[in-house]
Amino acid sequence: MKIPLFAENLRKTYRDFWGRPRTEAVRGISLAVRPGEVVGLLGPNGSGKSTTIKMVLGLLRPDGGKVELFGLPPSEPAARRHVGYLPELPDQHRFLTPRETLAYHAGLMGLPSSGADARAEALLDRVGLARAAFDKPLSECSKGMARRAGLAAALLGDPQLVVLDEPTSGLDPVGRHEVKELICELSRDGKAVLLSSHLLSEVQDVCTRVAIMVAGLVRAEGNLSGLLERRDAVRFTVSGLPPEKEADCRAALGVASGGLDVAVDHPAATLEEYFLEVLRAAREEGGAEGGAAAVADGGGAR
Amino acid sequence: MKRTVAVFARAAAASFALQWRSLSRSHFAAALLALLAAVVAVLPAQLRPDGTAGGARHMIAGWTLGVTMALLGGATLWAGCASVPGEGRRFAAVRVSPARSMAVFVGRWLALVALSSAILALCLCGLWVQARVRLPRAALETRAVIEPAEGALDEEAKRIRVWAAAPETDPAREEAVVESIRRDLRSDALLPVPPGVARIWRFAPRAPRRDGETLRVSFRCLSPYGSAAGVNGMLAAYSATGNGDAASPTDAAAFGRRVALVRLDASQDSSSEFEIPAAAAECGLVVVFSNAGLRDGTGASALVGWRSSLRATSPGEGLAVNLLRAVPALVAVLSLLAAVGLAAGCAFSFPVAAFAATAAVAMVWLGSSDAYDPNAAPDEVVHVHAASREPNAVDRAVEKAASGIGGTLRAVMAPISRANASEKLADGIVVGMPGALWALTADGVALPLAFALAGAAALRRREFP
Ligand SMILES: Nc1ncnc2c1ncn2[C@@H]1O[C@H](COP(=O)(O)OP(=O)(O)O)[C@@H](O)[C@H]1O
Ligand SMILES: [Mg+2]
Repeated sequence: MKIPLFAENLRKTYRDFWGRPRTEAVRGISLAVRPGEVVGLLGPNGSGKSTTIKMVLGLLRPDGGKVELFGLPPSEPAARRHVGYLPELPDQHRFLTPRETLAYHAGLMGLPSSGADARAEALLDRVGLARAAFDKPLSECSKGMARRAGLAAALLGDPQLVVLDEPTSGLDPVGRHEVKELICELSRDGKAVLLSSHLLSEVQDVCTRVAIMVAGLVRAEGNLSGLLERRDAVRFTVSGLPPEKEADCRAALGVASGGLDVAVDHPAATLEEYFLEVLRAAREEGGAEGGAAAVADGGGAR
Repeated sequence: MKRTVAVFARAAAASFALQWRSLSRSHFAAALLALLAAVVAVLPAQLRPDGTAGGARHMIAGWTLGVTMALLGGATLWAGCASVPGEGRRFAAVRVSPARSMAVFVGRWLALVALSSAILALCLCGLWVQARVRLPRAALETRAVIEPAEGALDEEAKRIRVWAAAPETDPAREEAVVESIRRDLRSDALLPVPPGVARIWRFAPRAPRRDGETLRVSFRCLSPYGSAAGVNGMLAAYSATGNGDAASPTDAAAFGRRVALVRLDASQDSSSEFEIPAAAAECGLVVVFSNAGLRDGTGASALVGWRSSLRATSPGEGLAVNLLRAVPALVAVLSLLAAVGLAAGCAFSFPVAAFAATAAVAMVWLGSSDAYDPNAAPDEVVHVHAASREPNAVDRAVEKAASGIGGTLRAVMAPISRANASEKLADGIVVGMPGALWALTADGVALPLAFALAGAAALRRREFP
């Protein structure tokens, strides 16, 4: 099968009505998501995560670069057949009930109407929506309930690629946990998942790969374990060491510990520490304020 | 192939359901319904008719229906404009789905048409009740117009040519002159009938629809000063027996048996109406207007239009049936407005779409208010130049473009303007079913599909930041 998501050197500058550049939101991003992978786009607010996602889905035309969904450009309906998308808030029609929301999306996807209701109920159960809320207009539902309905809509039709823009925003801690479980389940089923978030713990728990975005650029990318490993530090773990021997051990580090089991590894930073470090480096380097690079007045923008 | 169609239909159905729910669950539809109910309930009581049955019908079937259609049409147009922009970022989900833009457009358009047609149906029911309550019996009647026979206009053009001037020697030029007279007749231009001359309308044989049916012939002409009074003349109807191509209007015997004769008096308003048994037209009917001039043999020409001056009618089925006959033509208007609004909303934000669509519709409406006739003389180009300057290439190009656009718009709107449903309802004239259905097919379905193509293309090009 073709790789679900492939993007190369994407760039996007937001322009005003007259075409004058306002914000250089994305400045050259490459991305690939393979089946079974959960890729997290991590970055502070305004770093270009949503812009990247919208370009990937064909909602925005990139100023440069290339996107392919299952080997096709996103403008092809066939390319979007196996894509589920959860947009940023607000993402649902308030006058529809969750059941109607799913029926609407199922229709747009061209799914047959036979068994549609059972499918919708199963999905709404899966995202943890209370049964009582199935037939309540979303205007009467809480933000979290609406978010769950949106998530269910994104999972309609068993998509091979699921794109989630800040999936847990608006959810309570239980909801966050459930969504994390759901994402892990999706990756176990071999789906490709791309999610954006500024919540580090969330990304740390579910992602197999992360890309840290600052000011429209990827500053660090890789497997989570690889990124967090501290190559410049070594950790010895000595199990079962009597307290009185500790001083000797420390004194003669590297000398035989008397046949005891000694493990050596690189200590991992927490993702939070690492993230802040990347951010600090970016600031020192470019003076960027975390968010996107505003276009200087050379572009004529005021 | 079958699957593609099914997928398209499902996406269209989903878009239909969404649009229907969005309108019917918002306060928009309810407010519109309340407003229209108020119009239908209150307006007929407020309007002061002139006391005649026709005047009363004009108030209810003309004015009230006109106001209803204007409000409903405007609301449909704006609801279309608001459809896509009103969803804002929520529309992103539609763009990411594999649904075809065309399916999305068609579904939403059908929902707009269905909803506004349903509201129109309610309004028409209300109008009918008002008409039953307020109108005298005579005003509830309708009349079907009988068109002059095929070829009658051509014969008349040749006759006019004979007395107008000596023929041209060049046959091509002669034909061009006759053709220009034909065009004037067709476009209902007011042509002079000098004293001692007649205008002849011939009608094809027509069997009576039922026993005792009568045909009504109404005539009116203008004096050269544009006033209704001041013409002496005779109006006569003949039940055709012969072939009717008498060269001279005085040779009355050639028309057949005379069934009616009315004298028009200069002191009166040059209009007249009489009824004849429908059986008289069984072998064809000839109606002759002759200008008698003044008693002393002098006098002025009468101005007579081919269609507007003489109208032969037979009884129709009544107002209720006529309202039903008008429905396809009225729905065609709403359908076109929905498509225009929706296409504008696909391309622009709501304020821009609403402004552009409203301005465009207003211009077309004003521009095409004259019934379109493809054979009518081209519009005269009015030169608005400083007298000292000859039109240059740019002026000519602008004029050509303007008249081209005007002509195209009139041609495109012709089915609706020819069905002319609102005016016929107001006049108590039977709305022709073929014309109404043609209006629905051409302007209510085919033209909106062209807008659907444009709207879908705009939607595909649009970004959703
Ligand atoms: N529609 C828009 N018009 C102009 N600028 C925008 C628009 N959307 C986002 N931006 C700008 O682009 C940058 C990146 O935004 P976004 O991709 O939404 O960031 P994130 O999702 O990472 O928080 C921000 O500086 C934001 O101000
Ligand atoms: Mg975002």
